[in-house]
Amino acid sequence: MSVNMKCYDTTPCIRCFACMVGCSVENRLRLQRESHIGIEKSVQNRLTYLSHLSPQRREFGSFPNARQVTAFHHCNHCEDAPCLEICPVDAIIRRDGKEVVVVQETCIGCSSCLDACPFDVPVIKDGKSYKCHGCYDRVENGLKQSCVSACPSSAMFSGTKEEVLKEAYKRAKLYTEKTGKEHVVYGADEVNSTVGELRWVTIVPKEDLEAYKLDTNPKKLVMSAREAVKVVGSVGSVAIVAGSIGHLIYWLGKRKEKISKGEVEEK
Amino acid sequence: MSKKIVVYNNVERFFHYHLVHLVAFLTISGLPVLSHTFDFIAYGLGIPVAALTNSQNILSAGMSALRFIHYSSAFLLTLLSVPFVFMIVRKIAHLSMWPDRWGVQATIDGFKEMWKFYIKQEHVRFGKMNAGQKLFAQIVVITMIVLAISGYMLIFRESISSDLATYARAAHAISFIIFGMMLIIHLYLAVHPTNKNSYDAMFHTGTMDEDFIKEHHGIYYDKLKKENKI
Ligand code: SF4
Ligand code: SF4
Repeated sequence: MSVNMKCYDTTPCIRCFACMVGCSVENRLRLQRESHIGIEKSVQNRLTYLSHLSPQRREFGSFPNARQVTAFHHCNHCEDAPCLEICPVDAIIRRDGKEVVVVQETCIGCSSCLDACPFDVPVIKDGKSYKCHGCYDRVENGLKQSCVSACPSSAMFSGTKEEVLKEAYKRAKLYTEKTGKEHVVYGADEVNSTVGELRWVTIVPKEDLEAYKLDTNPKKLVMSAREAVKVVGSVGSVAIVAGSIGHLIYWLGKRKEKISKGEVEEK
Repeated sequence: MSKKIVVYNNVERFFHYHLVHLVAFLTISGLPVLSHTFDFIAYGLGIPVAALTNSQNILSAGMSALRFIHYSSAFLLTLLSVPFVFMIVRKIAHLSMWPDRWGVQATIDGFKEMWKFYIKQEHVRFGKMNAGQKLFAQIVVITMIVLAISGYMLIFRESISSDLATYARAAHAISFIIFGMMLIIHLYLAVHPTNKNSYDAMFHTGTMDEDFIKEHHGIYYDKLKKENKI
């Protein structure tokens, strides 16, 4: 199966947030479908942990050029997903289409994924981790992701990696020509060595990357330090064990020599 | 026969004795969270736990059981530490882990003495602890404090910010790795034939012969004499 990809295009987005409502509805329907929750409860309760796509509205710039920007906060389905790598019980898996999915039945709610994710995506609720699953079941059954289906302005589109990138680059080129501002497809190329490429890409004016909270070097320094110390620790531990064995052999030999010379007494 | 001198009192021996079990439990139960290399521990425990609890996932069942062991051991260790910490605080200025002489030259001299003892097998005059043991004790105390604070922060992570919890997770892992490396050296030296007297004193008798102290821990012997403890 080819790699599935989603794209959010900031230009045609009319800020109707149908995608976010669609995501929330889809995840409530899942609970009902899987008999985890009755329909009344799923509608009455806010269940915010089921909204895997959420708006982050922020003021950007300073007067007189200040403006409001709504960044989309969501899982990027990273190529080298740090959440997947750190999960101690392998509760985070990669589907054939490369969607990074939490299996709640396996999850023990240790929050490691939350600490590892440089985009602060997973949400822990009642001892389980929740995040976007890329609607892998819909996609595997020939449907579009719920957010993509809900979007009325083609600001969200999806398909195979090749299809999406072809369309995304075409749009970015067009916007660049029309507006004179360079537009980029964030996530199409390796972002950094922590996350690799992203499977949720965003078309955005280059100068607005920061406004849209699209981090060009997503990493948690302390977690990188933890990984580095782990490597030093394993090499160091092996060296210490080897050094101890070596010292013992040397020490016993030297002692034998001293005993034979009569310098020390054998006990 | 030479006089027996108490070198480790009952509180110290009791604490150390149980520290051994609890650190072993904490280490074994924490390693699979640190690295997938140790997944076998979680699988090993997971098989019976999954069978008993009718769980579908062996790794999750094992890891949940290990987490229970980790939390309970940490709690017991906290309880156990209370009297020990009180005792330590009361004599904080006189602990054997502080250097007898401070400064760079004194440190270099201390390590030279260790080289003579452990490599050349020459006779040297140590305090109750040699330079390496003092350094070990200081690092272990610091890493254990960091482990305890970051561990409790992670248990109660709902009450702190997500960023702080991430720092706590990293600090917990990093301090454990340093602690673990120290522990390997400590275990080796503890069972090394040259330290048999210390081992027996810690685990069996609490005492050492006056003659032995005089010969191997000369600086400590002088100190005891000065304090009229011999
Ligand atoms: S964005 Fe975060 S949660 Fe999503 S795959 Fe990447 S690391 Fe995992
Ligand atoms: S919270 Fe769940 S999914 Fe996240 S790392 Fe822990 S076990 Fe894995």
